[in-house]
Amino acid sequence: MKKMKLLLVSLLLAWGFTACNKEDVNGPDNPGGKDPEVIVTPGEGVFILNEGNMNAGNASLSYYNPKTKEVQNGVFLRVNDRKLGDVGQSLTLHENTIFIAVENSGIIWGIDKDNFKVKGQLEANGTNIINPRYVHVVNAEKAYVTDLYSPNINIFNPKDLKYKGSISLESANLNEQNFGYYSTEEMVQYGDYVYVVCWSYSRKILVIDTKTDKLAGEIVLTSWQPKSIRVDKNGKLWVITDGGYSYGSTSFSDNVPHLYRIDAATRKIELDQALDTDKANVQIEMNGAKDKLYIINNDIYCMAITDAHLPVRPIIEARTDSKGEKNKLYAVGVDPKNGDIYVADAVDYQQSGMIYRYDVKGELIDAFRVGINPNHFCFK
Amino acid sequence: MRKLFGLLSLLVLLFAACAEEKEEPTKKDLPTITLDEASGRYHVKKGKDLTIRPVYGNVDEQTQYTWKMNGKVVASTPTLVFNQAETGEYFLTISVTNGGGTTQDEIKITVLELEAPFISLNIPADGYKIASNTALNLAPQVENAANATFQWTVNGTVKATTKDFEFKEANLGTYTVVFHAKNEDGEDSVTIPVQVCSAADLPFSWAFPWESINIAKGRDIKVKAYLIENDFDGMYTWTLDDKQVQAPAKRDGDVAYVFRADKEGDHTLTLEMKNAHGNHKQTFQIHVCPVAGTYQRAASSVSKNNIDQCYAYVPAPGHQVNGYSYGADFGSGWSQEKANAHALSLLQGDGSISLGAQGGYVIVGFDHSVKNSGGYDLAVAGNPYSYQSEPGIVWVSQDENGDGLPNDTWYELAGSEYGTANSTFEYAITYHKPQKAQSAVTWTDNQGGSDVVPYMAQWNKKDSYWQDWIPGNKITYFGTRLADKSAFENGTSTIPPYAWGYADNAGSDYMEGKAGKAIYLKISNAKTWDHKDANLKYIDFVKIQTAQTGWTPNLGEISTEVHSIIDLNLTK
Repeated sequence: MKKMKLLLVSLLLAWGFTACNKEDVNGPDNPGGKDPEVIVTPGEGVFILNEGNMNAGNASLSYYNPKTKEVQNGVFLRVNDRKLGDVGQSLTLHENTIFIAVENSGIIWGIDKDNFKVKGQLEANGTNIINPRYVHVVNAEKAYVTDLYSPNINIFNPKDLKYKGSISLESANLNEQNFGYYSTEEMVQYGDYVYVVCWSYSRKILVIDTKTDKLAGEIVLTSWQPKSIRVDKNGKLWVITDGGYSYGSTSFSDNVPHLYRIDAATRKIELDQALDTDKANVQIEMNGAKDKLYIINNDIYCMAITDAHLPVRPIIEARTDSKGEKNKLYAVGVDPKNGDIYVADAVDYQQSGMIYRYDVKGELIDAFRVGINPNHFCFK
Repeated sequence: MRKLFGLLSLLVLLFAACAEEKEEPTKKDLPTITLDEASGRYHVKKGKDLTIRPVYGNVDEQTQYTWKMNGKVVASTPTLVFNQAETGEYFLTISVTNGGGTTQDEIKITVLELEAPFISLNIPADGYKIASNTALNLAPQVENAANATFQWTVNGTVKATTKDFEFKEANLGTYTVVFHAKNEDGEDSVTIPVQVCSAADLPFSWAFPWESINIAKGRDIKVKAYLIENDFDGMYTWTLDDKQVQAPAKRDGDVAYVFRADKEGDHTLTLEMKNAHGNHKQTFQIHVCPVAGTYQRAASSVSKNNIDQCYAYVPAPGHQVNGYSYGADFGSGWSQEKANAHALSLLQGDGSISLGAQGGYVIVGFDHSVKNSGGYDLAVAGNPYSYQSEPGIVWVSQDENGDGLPNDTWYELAGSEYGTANSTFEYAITYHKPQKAQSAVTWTDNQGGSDVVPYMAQWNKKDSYWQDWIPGNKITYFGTRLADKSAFENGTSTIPPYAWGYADNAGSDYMEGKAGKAIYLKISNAKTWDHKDANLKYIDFVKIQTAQTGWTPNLGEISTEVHSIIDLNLTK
């Protein structure tokens, strides 16, 4: 990632020669700031996780009240007087607790969804956790954690965040490309089975039997790097890959994302469609009724689960910069109650990100600035 | 019976007619469209035909097909042949109408640029000159080489079909070497004149960092010839003020002379190379000035802690110098003076400059002499991070002749790597001006190394990263190189910092201090050419120079950035 000074685009434009590059270590979580006290309101709210810059320790948590349209940045620090960590990866709501996986810090926080106070934490030391990515709560006493480097799905108790052990993935041969990754990513559950997409340098979906906590199978895709997975109301898995990457002369695979529909019961691939070469992130989100998909593929596309293919026109187009380049869309979230669409715009991965909120038809409702690289939404 | 047969026949006909009527509803079902590209997303290169053949259901010869683009009908056939000369995204609808109604679908066709081979090869302006039976290794860079075929011809005769080629000829003469690359999208070729010469005809060359200099009495300086080529057992002689000071000798390691400034005044030092084919001379004007301190300019109550002059902004090629992303675009016709003035305004204000790749530098000065306090004297702000630092070596100089210009002896501020295996002293790197638009800038150095400053279209789409105000077709920078420690893994670049002592480097001296967040530097770390303490009581000029040659695929070249340079002695 290009190092770049955190300044608004307008300031960057005013710079003249830009000095390439700067990260923002003084983002919303700056302890030296004079942020007002966090206002905690009961009822609906949207959490936004800001990934921050790697090795900068500036991940942060924002909170948005959709009724008042008020946004509060850096709420984790401001409430708990401690930093969230380095590379915030994901949010998972379970009952009254939000689990926050902070990848490069090797920590999973559990915070109260209503007052944002830390209820507990699970640290990597003494476990098989290395860089935690996503949390899936299987039941009241068992949650799975995926990881970028660990050849295990780790298990903890969501009640007290106590480590319970791990599921070895050694037999899945996730490091077949010899890049050193055992990358497991998003998870969904259908019946007794959890389906895990394996992102970095893999093209597999692993199947975990939640009754035995053992690897129970795998689905091999035609495209590399499955990144996001959801399950619809008919028991179909929807998966998107990023197809690898390309940076100048360095690339892995063809960088063409594919969209898959897979029958969860038979594990058969029913649909496989090549999308547009992605220049940012790819992600699938689903509405509350689980009959519509929202997909990041440079822009935001909306597709009914019965459609033959993803529409060729987006429901929401990414903003463009002064040179006509599309901003980098980093996450999409859909309010399960009213269908409002939240889009995280990482802009250029350097400056504070923007959140755009749209109604179900794609009409803009609100826009607000959060921390660096907003990458995950959670609706309470 | 006949009547009965007729009745039966009528019944059969009626039944048949009823049967046909029963098939009618099927025909009147809506048409179905199954695209041959299931996602509805098609790709084609500009100027090439794309044939789209959907599979239709519930259709017959009466069915109507309508393809529309931008509201206009472009075809009325089941199959569409699409061809566009311009790149971009094109949206088309296909409507199929039968007796049951109309079914419609929309597709997107992305028209892409052709990906013809694109050859980059540094070729001297007058072609190559090599000796008989000497290998000339030609290794062009070829973009879009994946499915390309290659061909090398020498005077029209095919010699190789590989990407790289070793040219070697015994017979003297002029040869025309042509490299040709071709794929289905197009072709490219370069012509390389090669003259195979006798030793007498091969051009002798050398290079020097300076030809005149000022030095305070009591000091010394090393004068060295760099990048010597084709000297063929030449004998080198040093003469000072018409007196031979070093006997003729063949090159054995450095061709260098240490001048000791014992006597004030102007001195002429001459280096001569003689061999069987001729002789070459280089003279150096050395002005020995009064002892250090004579021209010191003490700070006054109106002195400023910020710089007041930019004497030279000479960035090496780089994608962040000019036209980068959100940055300025200087256009053509900029002069060195204009670039200096612009750099000064940025450094004095809230701007920042990139020094480009290794060797690129800026020279600045203050309205007073900066004292050596024994502690931190200078603060250089940049934009380093623990995971991405782009170190620059800082040099300092005194105005030894008092003329207000940085034409005096430079002293390197030692950092943590000074004298270790990570530093290469007396380093010289030469960049070659690209012959083609949008191509990488190639470089060679005096260590036998070569590489490129990559072209980074995603960050800077200017045709060339060669700055308009840099004259000539090549430029050589002299200084110290720091080892490249950059790495690129899984799409992420890391350029770790060194421990301390460099601009734009998140070492232990990158801290919050009197001048804000910056690298804090000590004049007391200044070193002479022979690695001794320079013991400078003050300095007048500062030079900052990019130290590493590396690049990563997503960041491009390592290039030191400078935001400000502050005299801490005048900073409260």
